[in-house]
Amino acid sequence: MGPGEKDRVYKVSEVTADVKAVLEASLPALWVEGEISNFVHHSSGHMYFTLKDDKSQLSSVMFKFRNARLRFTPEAGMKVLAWGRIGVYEPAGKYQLYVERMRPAGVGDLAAAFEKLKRKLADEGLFDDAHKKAIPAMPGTVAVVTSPTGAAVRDVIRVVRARFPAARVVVVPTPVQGAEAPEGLVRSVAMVDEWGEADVMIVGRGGGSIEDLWAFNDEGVARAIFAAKTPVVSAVGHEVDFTISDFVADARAATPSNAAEMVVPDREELARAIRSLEGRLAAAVRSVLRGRSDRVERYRSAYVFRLPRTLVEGLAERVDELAHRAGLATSGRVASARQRLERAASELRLADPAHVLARGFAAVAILPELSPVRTIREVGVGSEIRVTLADGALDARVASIAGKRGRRS
Amino acid sequence: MSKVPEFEGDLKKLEELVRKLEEDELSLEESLAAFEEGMKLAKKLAKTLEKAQERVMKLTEGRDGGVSLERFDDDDGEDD
Repeated sequence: MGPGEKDRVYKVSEVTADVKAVLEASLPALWVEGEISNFVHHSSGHMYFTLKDDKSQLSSVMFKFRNARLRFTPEAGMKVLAWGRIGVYEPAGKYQLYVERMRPAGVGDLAAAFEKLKRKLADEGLFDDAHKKAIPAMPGTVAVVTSPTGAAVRDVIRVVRARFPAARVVVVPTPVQGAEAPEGLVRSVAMVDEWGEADVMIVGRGGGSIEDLWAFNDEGVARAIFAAKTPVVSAVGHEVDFTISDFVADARAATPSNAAEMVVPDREELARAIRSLEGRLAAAVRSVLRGRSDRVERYRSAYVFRLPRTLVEGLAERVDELAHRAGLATSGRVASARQRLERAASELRLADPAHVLARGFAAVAILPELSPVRTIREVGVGSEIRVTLADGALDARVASIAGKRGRRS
Repeated sequence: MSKVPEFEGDLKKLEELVRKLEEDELSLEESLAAFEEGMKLAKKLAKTLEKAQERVMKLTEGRDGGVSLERFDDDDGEDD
C-alpha cells in the first residue's frame, strides 16, 4: 500500500516544520521541575542536559548568554526549576526546552539553602563577634573586590576621592554574578590577603535580584572572607538584601558607597581637628610662658634683684606678644615662632632668680616680715636680715653699713 | 607607599603634646620643644590631607602566579 492519488507526501523537513509551528504556537513559556542528567557544558559556552523525572525526560539547552547569569553551577543529579520555551531543533527533529532561567529546586531552593547555610556557619562560629577584626580608622590602601565595570566600583572610587584622596583604591576585577562568580570571589579575596598591602577590603556589588546576589551566599565565599587576615567590609546590594557574606564579614555596609564612607575618614573633619589641636597647642604654650613670667615676677618682688626694671617689666609684655604671635603662627611660620620663643625663653632664664643666685648673687630681706631690701636706707646697724643664696638662706645681723664710694650713713 | 597609617600615629602624638602642654607637665625647655614638635606635626598632618589623590590601581593575577598591580582605567574621567 502506497500513498493514494490525493495523499500529499511530506518531506521530513516539512513535518518537522509543522510540528515546530504547532508546538511553539501552542505551548507558552513554562516552568519545568526536574532532575538534571547528561549535563554537558560545551566549549561553545552552551549547556546541554536532560531534565527527567521518574517517568520521562526532556532534552534541554541553555545558551551561553543565558547561563552566564546563573548563580549556581548545574550538575547531574541536581533538582532544578527551569523556565523556558519548548522548541524544535529541526536538524535533529527533536523538541527540547530552551531554558532561559534556572534555579535549584526542592532542598536546593534558594531561601532554604540560605537558611541552612546560615545556620551551619553560625553553628561553626563564623559569625561570632570574637572573630571580627577592627576596620582601620585610616587605611592607606583600600582594595575593592567587585566587577570592574559595575556601579559599585565607581561609587567606591567617587566616595574615597571626595572624602580621603590620600587613600589608594585598588580594584580587584572579579565576576560578581553568574556561575563563575563564587570561585572568582574566593580567588580575589585570597589574592588580596596574600598581597598584604591592603589595609581593608570591600567585597560587594550593587543591588540586584536575589539570584544576582547569590554568589555572596556561597559557602566557599563565606569561608574565604572568614579566613582573610585583611579586614573585610561586605557591601552587597541595597539595604534589604542580606547575604551570608554580610554575616561573616568584619563589617557590613548597606551599599558600596556606605562601605567607602565606613572605611575612609572625612578629610574636612580631620582638617578641623588638626586646626583645633594647633590652636590649643599655641594657647597652651602661651599659658606656660605666662606662668613662667609670673613666677619671675613673684621672685622679683620677694627677693628684689636689681634686675634692670625695664627688662623685667618689658618681659611679661613681650611674652604675651610672642605667645600671641605663636598662636597666630600658621604651620609655615613655625621656625620664626620658635626663634622668638627661644629668645623669650633665654630672657626668662636670665631673669629667673635661681639663675642669678647661681651666679653668686644674693637676695636680702628684712626679718621677720621678709620685705625686700632694695637700698641701704631700708636697714640699720643691728637689723636682722635674711640672705638667700642659691642653695639656701642664712639669717644675719647688720654690723655696719657703707654707701657707694664709701660714704657712711 | 602607604603613608597614611603614619598619620594616625602622628595625630596621637600631637594630641599627647597638647595634653602635656595644657597640663603644664614640662619644663620651659621641654614646653618649647613640645610646641615646636607639635607645630611640625600639625603641618605634616595638614600636608598629608592635602596630598594629591592617589591613582586608582588594579590588582590581578600575574602570569608567574604572583600578582600584578597596574593602573586602573576608570573611564569616568573626572579627576575632582
